Amino acid sequence: MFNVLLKYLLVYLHDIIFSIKLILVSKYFIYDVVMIRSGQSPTTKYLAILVIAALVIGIVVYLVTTQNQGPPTTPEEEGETTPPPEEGGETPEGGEEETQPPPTTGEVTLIILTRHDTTIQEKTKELFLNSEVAKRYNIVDIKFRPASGPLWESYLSRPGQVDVAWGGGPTLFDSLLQYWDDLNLPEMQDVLSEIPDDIAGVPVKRFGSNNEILWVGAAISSFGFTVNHDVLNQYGLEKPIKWSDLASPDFAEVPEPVVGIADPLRSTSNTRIYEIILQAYGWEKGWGVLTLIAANARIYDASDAVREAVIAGEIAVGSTIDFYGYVAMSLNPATEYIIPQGESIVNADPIALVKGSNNKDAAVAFIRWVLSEEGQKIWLDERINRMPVNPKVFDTPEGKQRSDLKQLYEMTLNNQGIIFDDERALKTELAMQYFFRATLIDAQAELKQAWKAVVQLRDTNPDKYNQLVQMLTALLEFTDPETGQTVRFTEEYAMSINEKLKDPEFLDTIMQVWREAAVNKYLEVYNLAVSG
Amino acid sequence: MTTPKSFLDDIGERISRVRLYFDPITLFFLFFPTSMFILFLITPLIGMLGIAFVYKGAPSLEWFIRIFTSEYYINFFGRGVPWYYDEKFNMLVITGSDYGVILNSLIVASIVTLATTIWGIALALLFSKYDFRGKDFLRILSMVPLLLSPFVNALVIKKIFNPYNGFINWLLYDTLRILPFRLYIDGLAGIALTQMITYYPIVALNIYSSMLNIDPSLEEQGVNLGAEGFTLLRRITVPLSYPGIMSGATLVFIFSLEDLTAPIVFHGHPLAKKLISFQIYTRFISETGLRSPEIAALAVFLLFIALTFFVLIRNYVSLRSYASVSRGRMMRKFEKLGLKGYILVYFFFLPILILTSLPQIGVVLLAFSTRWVNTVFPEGFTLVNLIEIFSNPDVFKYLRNSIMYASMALVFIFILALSTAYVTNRVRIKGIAVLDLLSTSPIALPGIVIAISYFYFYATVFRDTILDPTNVLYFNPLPILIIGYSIRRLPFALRAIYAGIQQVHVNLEEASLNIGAGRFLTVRKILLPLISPNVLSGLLISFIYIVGEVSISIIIGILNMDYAPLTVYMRDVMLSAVGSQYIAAALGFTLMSMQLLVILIITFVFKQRYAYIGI
Repeated sequence: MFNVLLKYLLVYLHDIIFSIKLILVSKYFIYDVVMIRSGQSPTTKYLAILVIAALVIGIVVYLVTTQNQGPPTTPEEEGETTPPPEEGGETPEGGEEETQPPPTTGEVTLIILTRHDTTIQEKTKELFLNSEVAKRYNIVDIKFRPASGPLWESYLSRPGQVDVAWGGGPTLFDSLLQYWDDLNLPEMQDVLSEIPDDIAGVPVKRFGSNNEILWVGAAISSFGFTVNHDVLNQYGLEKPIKWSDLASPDFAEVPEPVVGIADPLRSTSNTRIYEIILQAYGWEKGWGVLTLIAANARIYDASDAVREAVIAGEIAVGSTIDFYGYVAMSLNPATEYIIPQGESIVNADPIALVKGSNNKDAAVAFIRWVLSEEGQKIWLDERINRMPVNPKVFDTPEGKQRSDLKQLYEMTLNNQGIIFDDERALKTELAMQYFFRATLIDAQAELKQAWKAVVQLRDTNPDKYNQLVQMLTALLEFTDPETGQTVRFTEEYAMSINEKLKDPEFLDTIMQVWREAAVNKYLEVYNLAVSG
Repeated sequence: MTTPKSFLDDIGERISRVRLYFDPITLFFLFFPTSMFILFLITPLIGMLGIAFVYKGAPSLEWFIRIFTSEYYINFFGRGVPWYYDEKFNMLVITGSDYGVILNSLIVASIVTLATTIWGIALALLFSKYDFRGKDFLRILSMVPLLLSPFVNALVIKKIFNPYNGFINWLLYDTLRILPFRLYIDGLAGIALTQMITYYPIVALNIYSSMLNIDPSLEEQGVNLGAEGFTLLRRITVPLSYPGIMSGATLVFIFSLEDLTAPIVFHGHPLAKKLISFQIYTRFISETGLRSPEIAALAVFLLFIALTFFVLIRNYVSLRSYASVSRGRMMRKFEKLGLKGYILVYFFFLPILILTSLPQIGVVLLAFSTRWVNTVFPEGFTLVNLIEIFSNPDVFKYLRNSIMYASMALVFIFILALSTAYVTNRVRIKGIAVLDLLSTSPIALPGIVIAISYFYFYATVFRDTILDPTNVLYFNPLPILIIGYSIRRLPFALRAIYAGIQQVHVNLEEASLNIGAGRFLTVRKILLPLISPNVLSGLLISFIYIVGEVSISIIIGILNMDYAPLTVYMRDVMLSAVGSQYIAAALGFTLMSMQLLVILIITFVFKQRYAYIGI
């Protein structure tokens, strides 16, 4: 067997190497010509067949694919493959009249806008499509539309495109309140009564001004970090228990960073974590903590990458949302999820009914199912491990098997959290994210260099050490590109430019200003630290 | 001075030439590829210039001035040490130092090019001059890195160089105690290492074929005149192999500049982010869907570097130069290796060759293991990952999408390659060289630049249609991907078909034309049968490289996951879904198996050569 393989490989190699030469040697091509011409060459036929087959297969597969993806019963799907119906879709009345079938007659496909990952999507499909509810409302399929936060509005602003929005955090859902329909419906009452209005001081139902319910949390989660004990031991590091521990100089004394965090522009959970830190420590001190965490960190492009790095032992600590931590624990027993003492907050991950849904009854039935103890079983899956919002699920047979999750659930409820102001966080969110990228990610190499040099002074010259830490963590000063004045990155300033960052030229300009100001500051600190 | 008579003659000659060349089919052969290149290669790239050269609504060099004056992009003094020894942990840490985004990219590319060239020359010399036991095994080993498994191979390299439980440190430090310290490679150094391992066969093969083409009598004359050993090498052998060395080195230089997979895998390290390709990839479009002019300028710069090198090297070794050489097959005599030689081969070449095939071996191990975290070797054996690909429709979908796109792109590639190769071979008109240049250029154009130029192009020209990538609701990447793939992977098929047409003497076609067959009939009945093995193998090679394509896929194909190709899914699971690396590895394994299958088909069914990558 091996010999045959070896022989094939040899011939392959041989042919690569002699390719040019053989092609060029005229003797060979004459043989080729003679040989091919002597028989009624079937190769043209093969060639034609291959080309046609490729074309046909391609087209058939394409048609099959698009058909699978868009059953003709839902008109919004047609818009996806051909542009003309899209124009028709812009007149909502006409479209709605035609397309609103009574819930029991036509087959229904629910469209769900989501930020949940594929594991949750698959589990939901599996459980829901086999449920009684799905059969009663004749729901034959669920289509998930995964989209990053900034793109949600473009989905929602076209009525009838989406039935349900699910997952993405309260900040996102609160910023889109005008698109949510009232869930305070008679058929929802029983399940709504099973879910508390708030958990650990955090709202689980968002009430509108007329007591309508705009969204309901479908799961709760906490924010913290996951440690890998193997790696901590390898480097002789202590287990961190607070956010500020990640900013500790101990983490700067390892050869290369072993703390992992994610780019806030790519990760809503890490955005939330930074917002928690900024509110827990206050804006100014919070940026100091963030600066030192970044100086200690490897900064990944996605929160999932942080989790994978902890599991793989590439880093010792990674910021994660709770269920990522539990997933890590199940994949690598050396990992442990830690809720920072007194510094975590609980988040309810919402589900909402989208206004103008074409299948409102089915959509409501789906939401009701998700919140019921049946639907809450999604979170109990070994690969998902999220905390249910409806504690009744722990009384089901499946729930009783997850006593570990129940324990974590109770731990989360009991942990002292911080009071978190959603609105305040939202007002500076873009500015925070871009400032973070410019000063802590783009300038990270210089930051790390400066911080490492400063840490060297910790034992030899504590006064200078403290002074330089102070300098390194102070709020950045820079020249405002529009006024030419020197400004600090205060919370007020962040609020004032938050909206302007949507202009690409302003964005590129201010990013460069921030980046350079940060680099200069870090270099200054570095030079002071190494100059005797 | 032209007399009227000779002027008329000239006209007459031109007309007859026009009549000979320009029947409808030839015109189609000429204008179809030309218009495709103008529409889908040149226009998008020019459109990108329109973003990069505009500031506050007016033409300006502002963005270029910014990137060239900013220390973030260029910093001649460098920051940080490239390596240091950490006493506390007894570790040698190699990360590279920071010279700014642009210089970092150029430095990494230069180091990779230099190292792969030296290693390539050494390998080529060994294989082309000497005969020894186990030579075939070594040759096969040296081909292994050519097997495609995007992302996963870089991940495996990161795994085997892990300071505590990586294979290298386990072997050299913990077990054999050859190394006095642990070795920790990360950041730019990690990327450079990955690229060296991945790209050296390209240089080695180019040099090897060059060396085989050297007339042995030239070396014999050198020996007769008293040159020996290194002198012979320096004065005769290497200079005669320059075409191979140059084209291999240039390709590696460009591939290294545009490589995205290694930076994406290493991106946790601050320095790994500071490369042109990664900067373009993360910043070309802001999170609110706006295009960044600064990044467009950076992309234009990258394009400029790649094009410069491409044009320079084309002047040096063109596609034609090796095709026009014709001489009888030379008798090549191989020298037997002595004892010293054997020691060198088995204690120097072999370990390095094994090291360079570790990524592919690791991908296979990873694909079949149940767990590989915090351990030197993978644990357990399972087929679950491989079965998952074919049984789970949400995974299989991506493989199916990729195969579908690739088959449809092949139709375009066939027409494009055949027509381009035909007219560049058969029609002698001024300017045909431009088409020739255009059609081979995609191999040297950075994929990431083509990808973002497509993004800008379709978002502007096809605004609010299904082709608009910013149109999140309806966007269907199918047409864009097919056209993009056809153009990016054209050179592979083109090269094979071009060589085929070159072998067919034009007399055969002229005979057919003379007895009344039209151009179409001639091409169909005379030319195609003669070159069909070339065509088929060229198409198959293109097919494999389309399925393994990264840049356009992960920038355009990612926007609608329903239609995403395979590499998008690989990138996605590498960064996200739980226990993902195993599935990614299984996909990598599938891809490598497909490639092996194609190689076998080409070799045994079509009796053709699996053409290699060269300019």
